[in-house]
Amino acid sequence: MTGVDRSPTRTSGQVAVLAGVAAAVALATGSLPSLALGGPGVAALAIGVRRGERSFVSIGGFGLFLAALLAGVAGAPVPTTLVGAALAVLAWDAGTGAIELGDQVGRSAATRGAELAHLSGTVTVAAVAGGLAYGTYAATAGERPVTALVLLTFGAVALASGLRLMPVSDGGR
Amino acid sequence: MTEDRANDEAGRTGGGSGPTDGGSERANGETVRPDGGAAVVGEEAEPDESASATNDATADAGKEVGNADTAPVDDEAGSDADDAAETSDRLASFEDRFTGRWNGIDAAALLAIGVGALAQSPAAFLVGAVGVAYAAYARAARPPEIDLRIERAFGDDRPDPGEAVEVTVRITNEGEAIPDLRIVDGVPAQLHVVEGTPRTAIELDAGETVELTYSVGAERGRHGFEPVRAIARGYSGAVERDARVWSATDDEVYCTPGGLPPSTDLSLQSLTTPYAGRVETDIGGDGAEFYATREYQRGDPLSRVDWNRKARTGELSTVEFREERAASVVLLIDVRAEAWLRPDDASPSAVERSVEGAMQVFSSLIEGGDRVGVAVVGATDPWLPPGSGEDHRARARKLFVEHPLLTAESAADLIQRPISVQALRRQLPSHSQVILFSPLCDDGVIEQAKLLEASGHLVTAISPDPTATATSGQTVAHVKRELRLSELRRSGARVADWEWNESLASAISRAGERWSA
Repeated sequence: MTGVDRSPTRTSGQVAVLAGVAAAVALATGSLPSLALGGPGVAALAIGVRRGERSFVSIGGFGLFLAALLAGVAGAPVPTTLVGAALAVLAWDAGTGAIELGDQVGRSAATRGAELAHLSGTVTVAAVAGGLAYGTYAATAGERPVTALVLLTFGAVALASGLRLMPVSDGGR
Repeated sequence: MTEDRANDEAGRTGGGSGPTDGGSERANGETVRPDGGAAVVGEEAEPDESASATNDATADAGKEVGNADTAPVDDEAGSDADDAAETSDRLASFEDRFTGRWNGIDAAALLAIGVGALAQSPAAFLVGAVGVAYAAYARAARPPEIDLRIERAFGDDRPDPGEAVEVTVRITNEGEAIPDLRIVDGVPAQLHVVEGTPRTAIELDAGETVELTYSVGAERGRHGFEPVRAIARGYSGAVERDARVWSATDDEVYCTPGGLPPSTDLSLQSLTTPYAGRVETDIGGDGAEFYATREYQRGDPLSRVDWNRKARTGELSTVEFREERAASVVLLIDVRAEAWLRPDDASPSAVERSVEGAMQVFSSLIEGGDRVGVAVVGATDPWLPPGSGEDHRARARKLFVEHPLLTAESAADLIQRPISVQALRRQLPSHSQVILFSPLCDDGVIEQAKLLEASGHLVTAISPDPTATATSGQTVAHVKRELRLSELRRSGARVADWEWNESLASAISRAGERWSA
């Protein structure tokens, strides 16, 4: 049992780095200053995926997320910002997934099926939530102040936190 | 040498500390199992409770949300009682836990909303909204039910040591679809995977079957497979269920070495018993090979009179043949701590090699009609006096496979054993010769072998070579062993140097050339 290669798995690792690069580029097209956060973010992410350092991946993902916020504040188009943020989340999720799966199952195992299933879930959420959010925004733009929307969203957050948490149990119950 | 041994021990006790380590898994499985069983019984019992107390459940909704939510699932399980019973048999234990995959997404979402509010930026605010969706996605996660049918098949479940055995694990999902299922097969701690990997991560739909194929190197002994570890997650992966699943098949690899190939000429030394056998002696008598002629004596059988000579010279003479007699052999296996050596972590130890070699020699000699016994250096306990016959063979086989000093696990409780050849010499029948199996890597064993040789028991040493030459330290150990071998040869003993990648048969025939020269 010695000598199992526990470095991050390939598929998710590649998806993470590609999504990170795509996020940084997409945000830079919207607002060039965001590259100041996005560039280092991608670098940290790539190092983290390469070395299997979860904290690097998290820092990189958070950097990309901040880059998306910066782009949004600096006036990048809303769709660009949303796509950039979604790619940042995807990069972070795929990166941590690659490290975790590598740790549990190993790099040499066939893991692509599970990785793709998980990532498809992540992408679907981004598409549905982003689409809904942007659709609502586009339909109601200019009619309501942002403050009202913010308050509404806090309501949504409260609702989300009210969602039942899984009953974590030891040995069944 | 100490380095080697340290490595050896590390290799045996360390084994790796990852979540999939075989040793820790086994310990875990044993302790958790009773809980798992109890939990499953509880689950089966629950439908009654929830059926009779439906009103209560709704009344107590605030308190027992979790229970009310899982009740429908249990009802389904209860309706098919047989199915549930089968499932509970399979599941050794399971545990649900948060993975922390989405930790921090809530904070990031709120940050984005805050930034959006302060900067009056709709884009940042919408990013926050997407973040909230992810937080909800993570929170809604539930551990999938694990209902797997596991079947293992072996290419050969009675392999010879060192042979690669192909293991095929068929995993069938008899429950609901699992988007992310990680499988780690319970390979016994003593077996090493030589090809492929016993792990995989897959998406398994309901009713779907997946096959996992890999090969393990067989080692002597009886090896039962552990339950398969299955870790199932939903799409978000925020929670996982970590279960151990028993396979539906009887999984055991039983590995004992057979005899040497019949062509191997393991020439014994000519110290024999009075019984007929296959060791050619310097004694004239009945046999196959011509030995000498001598003067006719009254009573010699007519068939052995040399009639040609009688015709030529008129003298009566008798032909004698070389008598073939059986030898009495004691196989002496070195199991002391000093013999637990190996060239690298992945290899079996020299003791393992010695025992395998002894088993092969044992069956060859017994086939040839010799009387064979078994003893160990360093203990008096496994002692099988030389004998022959089917019963004796069965006793020896049992001893080789089951005696605690000879199994692969015995390194765990190794103590420094004093050499007790004194005791052995008292046990040895006087006409027995000794075949010593030892890596010959310390002076004590050489000393004892020389004592045995001097006391008249002809010694043949078969020595698996555990030394390597990768580092200079290893080279020193290698050379020191060579020197010990020649020291032993000088004392009159025969020595076969058995290299690590060599079969015993070829080591013996290589040494045989030297012996007959």
